[in-house]
Amino acid sequence: MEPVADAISVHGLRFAYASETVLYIPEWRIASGARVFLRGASGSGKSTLLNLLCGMLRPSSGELKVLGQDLTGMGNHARDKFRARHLGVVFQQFNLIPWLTVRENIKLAAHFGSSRREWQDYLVELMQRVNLPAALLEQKAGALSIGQQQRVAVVRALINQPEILLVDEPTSALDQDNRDAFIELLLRTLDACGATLIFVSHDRSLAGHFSTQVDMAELNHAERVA
Amino acid sequence: MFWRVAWRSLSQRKSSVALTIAALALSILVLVGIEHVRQNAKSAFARTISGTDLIVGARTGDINLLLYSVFRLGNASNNVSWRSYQEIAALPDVAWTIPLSLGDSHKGYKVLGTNESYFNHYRYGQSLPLTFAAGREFHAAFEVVLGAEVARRLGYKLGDELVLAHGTAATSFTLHDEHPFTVVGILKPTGTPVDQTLHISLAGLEAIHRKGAAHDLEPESITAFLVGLKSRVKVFQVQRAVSQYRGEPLQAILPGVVLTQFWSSLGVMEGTLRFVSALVLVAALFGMSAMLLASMRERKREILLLRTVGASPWFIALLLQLEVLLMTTLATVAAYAVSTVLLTLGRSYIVDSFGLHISANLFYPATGYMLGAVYTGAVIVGFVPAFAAYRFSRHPSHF
Repeated sequence: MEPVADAISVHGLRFAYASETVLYIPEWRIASGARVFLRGASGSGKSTLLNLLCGMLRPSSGELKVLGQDLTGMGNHARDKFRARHLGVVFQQFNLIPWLTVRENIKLAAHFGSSRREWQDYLVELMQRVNLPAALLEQKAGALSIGQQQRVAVVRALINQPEILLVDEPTSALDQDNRDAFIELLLRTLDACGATLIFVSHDRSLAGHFSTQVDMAELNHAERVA
Repeated sequence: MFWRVAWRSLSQRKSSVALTIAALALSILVLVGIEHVRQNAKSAFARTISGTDLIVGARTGDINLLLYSVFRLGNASNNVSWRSYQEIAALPDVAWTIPLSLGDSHKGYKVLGTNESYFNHYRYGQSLPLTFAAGREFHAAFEVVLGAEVARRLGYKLGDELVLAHGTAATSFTLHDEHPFTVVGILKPTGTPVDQTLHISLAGLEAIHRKGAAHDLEPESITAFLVGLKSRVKVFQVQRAVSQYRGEPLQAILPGVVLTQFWSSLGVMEGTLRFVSALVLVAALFGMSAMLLASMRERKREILLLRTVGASPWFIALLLQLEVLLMTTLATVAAYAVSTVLLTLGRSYIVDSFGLHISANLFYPATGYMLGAVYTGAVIVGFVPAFAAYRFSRHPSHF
């Protein structure tokens, strides 16, 4: 991957669902290595944007470049591959398949990302960074506490050394203490990787941790178009 | 890795998966079991008699004559008089004859009155002659030669004495106990009804039925007789001669032809059995499909996760098909294990009841095709949940 200035660049991006435009972003850029705090209520087009960014949805029109590559023109399979390789995703909860061990969960991600590097070594390293004992790897993911699961989710998301990390309300299932600790940990881990972070939350108190703040209400012009 | 994911996913739903596998295993058991018994019965029947050109008996149905003379199933409606037998045996084209006289039994096993030509001319399988495991053929009136199964089941050795019963019920009240027979020979196993038969001379049979002097022990009649010709070309000529015989109404059948008739008369039943077992299989496969489809709700999260880490919708569909294959394989293994056990336990019962030797080997081309059909059916119905998973995977509601 040659270095690109923008992690994400959007021009006239439109996504319509059943002929109703739900998302329209005329212009948007996220610089590489940025820490973006994306705020938005449900129904603000936030979910649609995230699905578009990670290639689960294909834009109806416009230009969506991620890491300099245009996702609009990419085939389904290519977008799946692209996502596996270049994007890490952490959800609100249920990040792991509960009946697989932690290691198996991560192995799946490594497989689809066709990890070039010795991911097993990297896994041990990541586990240390998120303060989880290596013994946890052999446990069923479902047996872990929510806090542990969220940290394993970060490890899973980072195993293929993605350039972009999408994190969606990762702390909503955690209590206040764990919430702060998790964010600290996430940012610290990211510092070592240098990936661009897009952090989605409605919790304004977390905004201070981030370099850029984006409000979906301002970003999404869909209402004005329709 | 993917097999492992599929496997773990199945063990997640242990009870519904176990029930599905049980239903599928049962249907495979029925399908393969029926086919196996059918094939074995057919070949066992076919190998029971060979080298005999004609079977002659009183006029009755072709199949009936074949069944009572060769398979000792059912009873003759009429006998053949000794005179007719001798006249036909004396026809110039006839090389040999074997008289068969049935009607008595010993502890449920049929007694056959015959003569030494039975041991010389009777052939089974690929023209195999009868051979002795011990002893010799009978010479005197009160000597008996046992089939292998009779000797084994009843534990008789050479020199043992036994008493015959009148009629063929296992518990007859009329015993011919004034005339015990001595075991002088035991035949080697043949896998035919011969194994379930006690063989005595016609003279011996006559002696126990006729009170008084044991001179002139020529029977008045016999049940049927087997005929070997000097030349097979004459078979229809002799058959016609028998049916036109003036002394009494007789008929002659070609065993091979009638065996074929017999099987085609069973064809409807065979077809019905196959059809029903196929339906049972289809029902079990639908059950599996429905179970997987019902699991989709709880799977949505897993599918979403797999998609997130880069799995394509095809992969998700494949994963469901892998589960289908795993369940089918487990069901097949279970079905084979159970049928092997059942066959091992049930073989001697089938031999005793029907004189059929059913092989315990379930691996041969015909069952292979059946399993091929099972797998094909499984994959086809597997497309239903696989397609549902695929469709969901195309547009999962993310975030």
